[in-house]
Amino acid sequence: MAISMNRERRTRTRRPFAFFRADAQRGARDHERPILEFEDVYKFFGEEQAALRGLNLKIERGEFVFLTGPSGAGKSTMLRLITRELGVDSGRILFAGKDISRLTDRSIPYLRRNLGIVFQDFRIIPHWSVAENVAISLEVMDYSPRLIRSRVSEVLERVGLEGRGGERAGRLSGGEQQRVAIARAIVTEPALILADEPTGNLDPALAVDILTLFEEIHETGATVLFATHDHGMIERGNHRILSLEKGRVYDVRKGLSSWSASGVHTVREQGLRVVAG
Amino acid sequence: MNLRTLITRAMRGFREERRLYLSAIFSLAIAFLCLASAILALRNFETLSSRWSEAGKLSLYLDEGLSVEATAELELLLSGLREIRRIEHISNEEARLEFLAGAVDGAALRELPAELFPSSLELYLEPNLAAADIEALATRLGTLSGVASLERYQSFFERLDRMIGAGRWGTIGLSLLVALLVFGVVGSTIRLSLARRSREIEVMKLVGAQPSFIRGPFIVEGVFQGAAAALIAIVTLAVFYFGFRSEIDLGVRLFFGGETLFFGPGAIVGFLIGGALMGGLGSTLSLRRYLA
Repeated sequence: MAISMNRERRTRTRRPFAFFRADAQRGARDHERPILEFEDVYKFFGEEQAALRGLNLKIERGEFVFLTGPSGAGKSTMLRLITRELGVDSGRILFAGKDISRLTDRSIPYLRRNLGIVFQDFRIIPHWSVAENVAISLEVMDYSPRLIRSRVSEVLERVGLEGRGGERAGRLSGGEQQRVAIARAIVTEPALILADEPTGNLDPALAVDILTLFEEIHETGATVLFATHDHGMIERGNHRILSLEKGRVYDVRKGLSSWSASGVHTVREQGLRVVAG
Repeated sequence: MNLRTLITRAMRGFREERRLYLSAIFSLAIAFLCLASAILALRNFETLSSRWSEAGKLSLYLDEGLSVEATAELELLLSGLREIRRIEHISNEEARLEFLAGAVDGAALRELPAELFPSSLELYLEPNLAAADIEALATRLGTLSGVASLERYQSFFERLDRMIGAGRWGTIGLSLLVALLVFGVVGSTIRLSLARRSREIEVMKLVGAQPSFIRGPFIVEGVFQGAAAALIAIVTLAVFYFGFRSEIDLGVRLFFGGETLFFGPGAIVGFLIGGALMGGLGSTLSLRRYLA
């Protein structure tokens, strides 16, 4: 009995979506719901300074979405709301159909285990080895050392760092460090990958490599939300584009591969559909 | 989190911050050394006091020139008293030899005549006699003919008891001071370590680490610091004690009789566990404060 209970506890810890209440039943239609929904989300910094003003959007499972907009438009705030580094002031954020804006502090780690997060500044630990940097995502989930070694090896091969697990991460080039960060983000096979300006610190050629890597990951079925203000990146990919300005989102549909001008004004000039605003 | 991962991560933290941790361990070791020395001294005084009080001894110094027959008669009289367990007669010459054996510079005092040292009857009392009974016995014995004076060692015992009592309070105070010092040193170490490893902690939070996963290695590091410091303190004290044991015991034998003792295995294990617990508690309290 004790063994069975322990096994059950361990399984519960590792299970995706374990951040929901223990007694909550997953509905049969949960898999059909969008992976991410913002419903009339407001976020203020100070009394008058609104970062997000009634934001509404949906991202379906398996989508690759660019999130763009000028500096201060609210891109990072939006991502930090998803990771629950920040809380909403009003509205709801649904992740796989569940409201994450009301999660308790104890449940937030379980949410984050279902997200893969990649930053512009990589946020890797320079004095750790490449493998240690990647393994940390699995260690927090209490996987066995043997499984961790195996998964880390697989994912390093996938991001083009095969056989380099023992090297110190701080000695790698910028592009390679970003690959380590991507490996750390995808090693748990998260439900949603959030990339916050992941090519911002890289030269154009490396940036294209990294975008290509994200596209390859997306082709395996992952949902990717890629925040960037680099129009060169956006033009290269034939993906859905969400444009943020002054805390509101404008939706530019898939297929706009020749979108070359900057900012939301172009979207308006071209008469594209405004989803919220 | 499994134990192996926990210890591996703690050891990695120790390797990365080894200078910081080593300086903390040596600071703690000095504090633990003071505490261990105080406890050892107190323990030895308590043992001596208990040994003496259990022995229950009186010394009857005999009149100068008391005849052998009179001494034998007195000895016979005393052996009939129920409070007395054993009687030992110390002659002038035996008293002189005993003095010379305990003297630091025996050679210079060897010429002293035996007559300078009074002969005595050493009375070993029955164990667990009440203080009032000993008092009454001493009063009676003091009036016997042939008895020049009587030594009850009462004032010595009172002084020793007072000293031990003060030593106990001093040791308790020192323990509290050491505990505060441990919390302070471990707290500062953890605080510095948290500042240096802020990126690590941030990454762990972002990949979904529970607070216990982040805190675990720091607590293990605190436990290790406390245990290592206690071990260094015990080893240092043992080196000093066994290195200078003959000199220490000579002084103790001269003033108190008997020999000193070092900590037994149980006490050493207890001290190490105490050090580890203090380190662990110190790091837990610091993490609560600084890892909000």
